[in-house]
Amino acid sequence: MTKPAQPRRSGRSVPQDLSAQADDQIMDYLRLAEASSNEAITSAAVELAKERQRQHQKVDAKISPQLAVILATVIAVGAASACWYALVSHPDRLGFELVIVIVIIAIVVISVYALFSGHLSQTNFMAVIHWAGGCLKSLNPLKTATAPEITAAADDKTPKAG
Amino acid sequence: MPSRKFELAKQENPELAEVLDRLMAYVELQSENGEKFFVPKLAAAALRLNDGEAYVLLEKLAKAGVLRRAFNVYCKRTGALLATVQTEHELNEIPHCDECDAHHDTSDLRVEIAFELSEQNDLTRQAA
Repeated sequence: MTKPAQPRRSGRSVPQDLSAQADDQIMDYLRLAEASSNEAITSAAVELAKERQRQHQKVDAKISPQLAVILATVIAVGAASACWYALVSHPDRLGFELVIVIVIIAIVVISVYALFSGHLSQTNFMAVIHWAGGCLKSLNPLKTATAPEITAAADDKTPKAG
Repeated sequence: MPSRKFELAKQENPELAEVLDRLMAYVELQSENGEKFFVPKLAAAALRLNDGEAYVLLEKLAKAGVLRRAFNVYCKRTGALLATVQTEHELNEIPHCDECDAHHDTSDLRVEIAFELSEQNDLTRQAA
C-alpha cells in the first residue's frame, strides 16, 4: 500500500541548526539570570555573556589572527612611509593634513582586519567608522568657510548704496 | 564530600557560597539517585531559583572543574536520547536515529543543555 501524499509545507521556516538552538538556549538562560535579584549572579551572567561573545567572534573570524597582524604591520609601515613622503614633498599645512588622512585611512583598514579576525566587535568597528568620518569632515576645506563668513565676504563685495 | 575544586569555586565566589552549597547538595543527591545529567530547569525548581540563575551557578561549577557542560540531543518524535556531545561544534555531527531508522533533519531534533560530573570527580566518587 502506498503512503498518502504529504501536504507540501508552504512558508516553513528554515530549520535552525543545532548549535544555533543551543546558543539560543544559553542566551535565554543568561538573559533570565541578568534579571536576577542576586547581584553576584547578575554580574556572573554578564561576564558569561561577554565571554561567549568573544568566543563567537573568534569562531566567526574570516582571517587568522596571524594574518591580521601581518597585514596590520604592512599597513602601518606603508602609512608611515606615506606620511614621511607627504611631509617631505608638500608644504607644511597640506603635508600635515595628508598625514591626518593617511593615519585615519590606516586605522580604518586595520580595524577591518581586526573585525575579520574577531578582535573587534561590529559595534566598536562602527564607532571607529563614525570617528573616522567625523575627523575627515573636520578636514573638509569647504567647511572651513562657514556660512556667516561667506555672507560677510559677499557683503564686502557688494557695492554699498549711498 | 566536597571536593577541593568545589571549595576553590566557593572561595572565588564568596557571595555565592551559600547557594553553591545548596546546588552541590542537590547535585550529590541526584548523583546518588543515579542521575547522570543535571538540567538547569530541574535544578532551578529544586532550589527555588529561576532557570537562568541555576544555569549560571552550574556554569560556575563547570568552570571550577566540578561539572562538565554537555549537550543532549533528542529525537523530537520518540524522545530518545541520540547523542551527548561536549562542544557546540559536535552538534552538527549527530548520528543516525535508531528508533526511527532515519537521519533526521535538524528541525526534528531537540537540544538540551545539561551538566554532568567531570570525569575526575566521577572517578573519585566511584572509588569512595
